Amino acid sequence: MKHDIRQVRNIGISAHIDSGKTTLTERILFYTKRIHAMHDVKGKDGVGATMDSMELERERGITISSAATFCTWKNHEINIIDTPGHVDFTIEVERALRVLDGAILVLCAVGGVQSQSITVDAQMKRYNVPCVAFINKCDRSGANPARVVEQLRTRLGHSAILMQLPLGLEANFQGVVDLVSMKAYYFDGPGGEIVREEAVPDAILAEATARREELIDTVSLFSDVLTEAVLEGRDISPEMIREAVRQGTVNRKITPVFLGSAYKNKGVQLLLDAVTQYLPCPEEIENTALDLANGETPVRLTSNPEDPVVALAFKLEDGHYGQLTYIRVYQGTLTRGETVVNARDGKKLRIGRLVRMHADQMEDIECIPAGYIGALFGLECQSGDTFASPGLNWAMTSMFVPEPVISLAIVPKDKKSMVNMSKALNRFTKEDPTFRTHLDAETSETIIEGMGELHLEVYVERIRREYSAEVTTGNPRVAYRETITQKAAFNYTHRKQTGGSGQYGRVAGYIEPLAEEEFLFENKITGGAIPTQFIPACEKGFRMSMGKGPKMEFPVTGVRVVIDDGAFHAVDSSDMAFQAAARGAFREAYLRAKPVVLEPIMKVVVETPPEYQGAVMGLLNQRRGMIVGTQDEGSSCVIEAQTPLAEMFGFATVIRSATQGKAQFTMEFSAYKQVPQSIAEKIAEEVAKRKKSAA
Amino acid sequence: MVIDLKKRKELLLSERVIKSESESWREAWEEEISSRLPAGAFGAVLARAGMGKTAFLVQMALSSMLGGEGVLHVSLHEPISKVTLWYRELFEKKFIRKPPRSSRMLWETILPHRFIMTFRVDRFSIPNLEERLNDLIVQGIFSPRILLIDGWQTNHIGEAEILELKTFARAHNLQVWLSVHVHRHDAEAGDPLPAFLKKSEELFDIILQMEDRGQEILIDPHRDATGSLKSWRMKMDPVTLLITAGRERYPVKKVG
Repeated sequence: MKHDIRQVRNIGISAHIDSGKTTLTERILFYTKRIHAMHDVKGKDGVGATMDSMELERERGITISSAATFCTWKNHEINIIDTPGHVDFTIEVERALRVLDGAILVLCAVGGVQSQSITVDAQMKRYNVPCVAFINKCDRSGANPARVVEQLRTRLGHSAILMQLPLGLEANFQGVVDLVSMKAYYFDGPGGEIVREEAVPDAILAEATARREELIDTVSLFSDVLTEAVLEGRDISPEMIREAVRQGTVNRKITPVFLGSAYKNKGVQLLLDAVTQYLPCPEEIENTALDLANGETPVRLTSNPEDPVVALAFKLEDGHYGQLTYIRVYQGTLTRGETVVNARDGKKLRIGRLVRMHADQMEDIECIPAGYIGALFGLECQSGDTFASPGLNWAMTSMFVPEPVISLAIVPKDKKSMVNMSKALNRFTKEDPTFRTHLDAETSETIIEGMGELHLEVYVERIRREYSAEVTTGNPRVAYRETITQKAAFNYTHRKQTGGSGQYGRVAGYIEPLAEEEFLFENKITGGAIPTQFIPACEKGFRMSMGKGPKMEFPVTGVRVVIDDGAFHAVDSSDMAFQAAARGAFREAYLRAKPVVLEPIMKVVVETPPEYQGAVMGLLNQRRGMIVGTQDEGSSCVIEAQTPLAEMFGFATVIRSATQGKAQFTMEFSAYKQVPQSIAEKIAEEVAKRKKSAA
Repeated sequence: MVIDLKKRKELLLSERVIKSESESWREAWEEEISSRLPAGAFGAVLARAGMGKTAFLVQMALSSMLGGEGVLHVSLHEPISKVTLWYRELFEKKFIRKPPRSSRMLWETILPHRFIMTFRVDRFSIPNLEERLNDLIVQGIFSPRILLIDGWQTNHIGEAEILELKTFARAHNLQVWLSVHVHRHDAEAGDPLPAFLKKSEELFDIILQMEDRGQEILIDPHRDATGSLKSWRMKMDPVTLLITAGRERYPVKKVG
């Protein structure tokens, strides 16, 4: 196997749900000869698209996990990550983007830039992923690529440049005119595999020439050669334009836009050409790791296959042969039989079988060089772990992981289901850092936590189907928090003298609100009022108290604890005694520090036809939503609001019926905010009721 | 006699004898201008591109919000996210010295007093705006006292539009502020007023003009029918874009 890093592209396909990215991936795999038949997402043939390898995905027509696959196109090796489209799965999208060098942003020619595209685009910006846009579904009634390009500019702030013009639109969509080569392309054969190149039809020639001028004018900024040619009036070769477009794209200054219809097999081959021509190779992207031995200072990775290896596990999957770990190598070469160190726990691991994945089929390989994506078997790790050569204490930048905002009790029907359920939960928590699970000590129920209703729903379905565990679920519960609003002092003595050795410890100090952090402990004791060896026990006691607030038993955040005095006994003081004293002190001060309940507030973005704007705003307002603003987009309007998660259950159904299914919305966590008094009282009642029923 | 201090404070606050905490952060210059402008009054801020018209309007808005007044911010050139960023940044710069917790609480207190509407330039019209505003008022979602229109291109504004806006503003008891872009050649020719403003100057109660003086940007009154700016000298720091205003005798330019 030859390895020329300049011929490698690691790309992702990101888009709004239902804009056709799985169909597009299916076509790409067909044209690159990785599959020999094409299936559709909700296929009439009952097979489903190749990338949607999970049964649930095939049934619902959505892609949940980002399966990585490999293909070749015109001497280029392309690794594709198919990413999920729903905002509840954004951690999957973010993880995928972390390992990508470029992306195809798929947009629907009818729907345009929808709310989800905005979220996905924000993620791409965060990881500096250059992208090309593909306006899909140009064959659909109402397709308007020009409007989508305008939205790319106005709503996403991209400097979007049309690289093609459509030949007909809607049912009459026949092919595209390439503005760089000034040729018309048609796609013949049953699967559109024969690309027919012809002269640009006269009817569109004038417009194509004008658009080409515009294109050259915009991209000449990125190439001196092109600028000189323009100024001197010389002939401009397609190569000159391509090089300028490439420079602009790699530096994220422009977004070239391509057109087509994946479903009707049009325009996909030209998009593949664009991926190889305009998106960067791994060498062109600067990647950094953190040097753990040196105060986490960033270190630039070289992408040289000869250097010590640094690789990141970005996705785990449970296959037929055990755990499969998707990995991206950033530096050096990961070879079979080699020993590497997991930066998280310092454990040495031996690399066993290495494979290259094609959705759910695989191909054995000997090594994965820098810049490549592959998978390995039999490695015990978590997603987000870094593997490096022994002696290299480097970790890839830690990924931003949001805290879960919703929880659900899940109860297995019988013992067999319980075993299977715990297997499933064990795997899911390793795969997805935003999905967590714990056992409620009072109700003995297993609680699962995640980022939204759909997020948890999908996992519950997977537990039922993939692990054949029969489970029932409780009502979703919001992850409330508690915090304090003012400073309060404590002076607590823990004394116990009931036979055997006694317990004694006194702690004094104060607690106060903390704006930016969860918890901060400060020791201001002078003169040895509490001996140094008991200070960690005090901290542990306070920290333990934060897990369950004395007000309503929700986790407490934003507290600074300062201890400045105390007392001990030469015989009776112990770690246990000081822990108990700290817990008592926290209880004592907490209620005086005016505790309040906080609730997760979600940023809700609704996209609706303008005639339903009033109705949608009314719905949001009824849900205690604070409407930030409305954005008029002509044929649609976007409403942005901050709404408490507790009020958003079942919103999907309500909004569907209020707008005849024409509005759609996305929701993501924004911040924790104080609950109004009346609602806090209701929550307190609910908590009391739950406690009573648990007892 | 036992005095319930809490109740007394509430009473005094409701009668506006004393100010609430957030209100005390309100800018004196803005308060004076706002209090002298009747409902339906027009204000305009003129400047060349990039000088800080939006920053001026946002600071007017922030100050009014601190006074508990509803501000409807209409932007014709920026999406919601960018407009919110303007507010966030200027608020943070203004309250940089306040402890983070209390500034965050202040921010959350004033946010419900703002509503942003963005329109595409070609879709913006007064009837369209009125329809949207009625949606908000009827459902009790938001009821503004101040309307800011940012980014309305001067070539789209005619006398008819201004009269339409005036009727709309009077009907809804709104004070209206417009940002007006002045073209470089007009500014250099010493004629900063765009055509629509020349024709309808008397409909405006205040017209402010921003002038670049290198180290600072002066905000001079070009027209001041209220007389509220006589004693103020306002300027903007070109780095932070924050407005400072000091009371001093300052000659008002002659109208017309």
